[in-house]
Amino acid sequence: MTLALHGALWRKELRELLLGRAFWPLLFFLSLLSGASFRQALELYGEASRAAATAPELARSLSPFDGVLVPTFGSLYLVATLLWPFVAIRQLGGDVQSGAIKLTLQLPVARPALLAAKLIALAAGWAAVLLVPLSAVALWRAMGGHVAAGELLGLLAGHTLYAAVVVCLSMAVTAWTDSTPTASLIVLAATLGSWALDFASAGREGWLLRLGAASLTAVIRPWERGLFLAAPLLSWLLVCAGLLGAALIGLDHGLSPRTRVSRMAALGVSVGVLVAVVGALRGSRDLTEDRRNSFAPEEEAALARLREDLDIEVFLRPEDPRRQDFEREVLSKLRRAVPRMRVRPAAAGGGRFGPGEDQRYGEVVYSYGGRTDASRSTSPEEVLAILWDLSGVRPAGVSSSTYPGYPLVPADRWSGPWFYAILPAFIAAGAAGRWWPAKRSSRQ
Amino acid sequence: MSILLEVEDLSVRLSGQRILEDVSFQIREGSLIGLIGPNGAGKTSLLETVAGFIPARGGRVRWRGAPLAPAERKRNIFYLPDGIRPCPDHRAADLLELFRVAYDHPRSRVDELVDALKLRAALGKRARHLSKGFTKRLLLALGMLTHAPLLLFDEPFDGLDLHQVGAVRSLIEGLRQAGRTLVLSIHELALAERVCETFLLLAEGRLLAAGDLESLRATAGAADGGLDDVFLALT
Repeated sequence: MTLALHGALWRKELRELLLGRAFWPLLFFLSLLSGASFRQALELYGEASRAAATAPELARSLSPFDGVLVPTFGSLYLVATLLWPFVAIRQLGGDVQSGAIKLTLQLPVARPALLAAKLIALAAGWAAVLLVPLSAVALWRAMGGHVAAGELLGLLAGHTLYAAVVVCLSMAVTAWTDSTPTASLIVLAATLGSWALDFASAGREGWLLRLGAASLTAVIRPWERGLFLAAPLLSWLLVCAGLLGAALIGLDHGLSPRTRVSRMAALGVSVGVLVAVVGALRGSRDLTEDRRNSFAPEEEAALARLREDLDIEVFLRPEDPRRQDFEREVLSKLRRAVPRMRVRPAAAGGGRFGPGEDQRYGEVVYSYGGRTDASRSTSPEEVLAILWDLSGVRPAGVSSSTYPGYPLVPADRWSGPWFYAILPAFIAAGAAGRWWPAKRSSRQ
Repeated sequence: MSILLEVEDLSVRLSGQRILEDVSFQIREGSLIGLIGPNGAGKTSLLETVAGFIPARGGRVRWRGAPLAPAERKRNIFYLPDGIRPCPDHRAADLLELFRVAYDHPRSRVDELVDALKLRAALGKRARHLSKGFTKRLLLALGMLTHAPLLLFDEPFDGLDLHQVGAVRSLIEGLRQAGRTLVLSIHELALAERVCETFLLLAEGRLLAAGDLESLRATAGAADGGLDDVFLALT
């Protein structure tokens, strides 16, 4: 097939995207939502920065990543959950609904290339979507705000991965249902259901936690903490590939139902096995400038030398704030640094170790190399001290954090006009530029 | 004329319902075949199954004697569906351009078709705003831009006036002279009799008769009858 045909297909798909009923309203609402999130974030960050002026130690805890970027990009998550599925579904559903699919499937091009053209158009659309929250980042920089490139790129990657999962799910569901409304219902049920599941599984353990970790919302979570984790990234990419494979099987109308089912089963098993394999990968990187997800480099080097199994038994309920603090400040960092580690949630289920019911509640027991120690502290310093004593391994000096913190009381004059007037006007003009010729065509 | 396509014992069931049952026929290269039958006879299903859009429950489709898997059919067969309005937000010109590029035609070929089918006035319009006649002519233009040796057109004359029918007939004749083979599903029997030279008569998912008008007359016992008499006698 010639490059010219690829080009013609991409142009067709891009037209489909720009003429769609969902794309421009998505941009319009994203502008308003991003404006609201950004302005609120600026206000709160400004207040915290004012307080930091009299307490310099407080200034070191002020991170624009948490204070401004993550809340502003939160609007992107909302839009990707509620509106982006309609854009993605229409890209294939439009062809299915109008019957164009029967023509395009006969073009001298393989089905994967047809699907790829749709994905390329959606990628271009998503790039345009990202420009809205990125304009907030530009405004923040113009106000003198600090942005760490790694943190921003990680956040962009997380939201883009989430959008990609939604797209692949939409393609698979549309190819199998042959109906845009049905596909919309199913995909929205998945995205909104994931949202609810994520909420319900917060601070839980056991099967609910595992289910929550497999929900679509879990795609973004590590990135919002400034963490790159290879295993979930590769797992979700494999899920995307599997969903696209399912879409291709769904589009092969000539297959008998039995062949379709057997191919889907083979695909599901293959993806499942591969996800299990990559799930064991330990590659990770702390993308944050203040290294909030890591111990000091010397401590991490020492922890990497722990060759035996480290067992940690936690007598704290999952919903206990101390447990959550311990998970965030200690366990998640240890998981990345210690080669062989196992955490046993002794307080999980049943409430056997609730406060007042069990003397051991609040205790954490550490076992390494046949030696055991226990502590009620959730402080990283104290936990590490226990581990050094148990293992006999010690870091060669520990450098202190050099993160200065970035307090700023922003002088915001432009975010309101930009997000509530100028950008919506541009978006409305773009929509009119695509839709008006269509209206005119109907009168000719 | 050699045999281009051979269909043997083709059966189709959809949602447990019998749609086609043991349909067998041959298509000779360069022929112009009319697929006729009452509403619900299975004409569209037959075309879609041969084109690979509906899975067959049983039977074989051979191309020049060799089995032809559904996934390979688009290399040799192009099916033009009826009753679709493809890419409703795109301009007619955009769709023609996509097919022109896909099948590597010069722009002059599109111009020829546009003029012959009197599509010029529709080029700038979105597909959703085209009348039924314009939509049908646009679809025919798209089908005629393809290179498949066998063209399956579902109701190619539906929605066309007499002048347009004449134009389409000339174009179809041109395709035949260029060596293409056509199967046209036509519900209007008088028109089918004028346009086609051989026929496949389908009713209730079964092939009742196949051949030219003379052989159909013999089968139906209607010596001097037209295609409508044959149709009434056999269905």
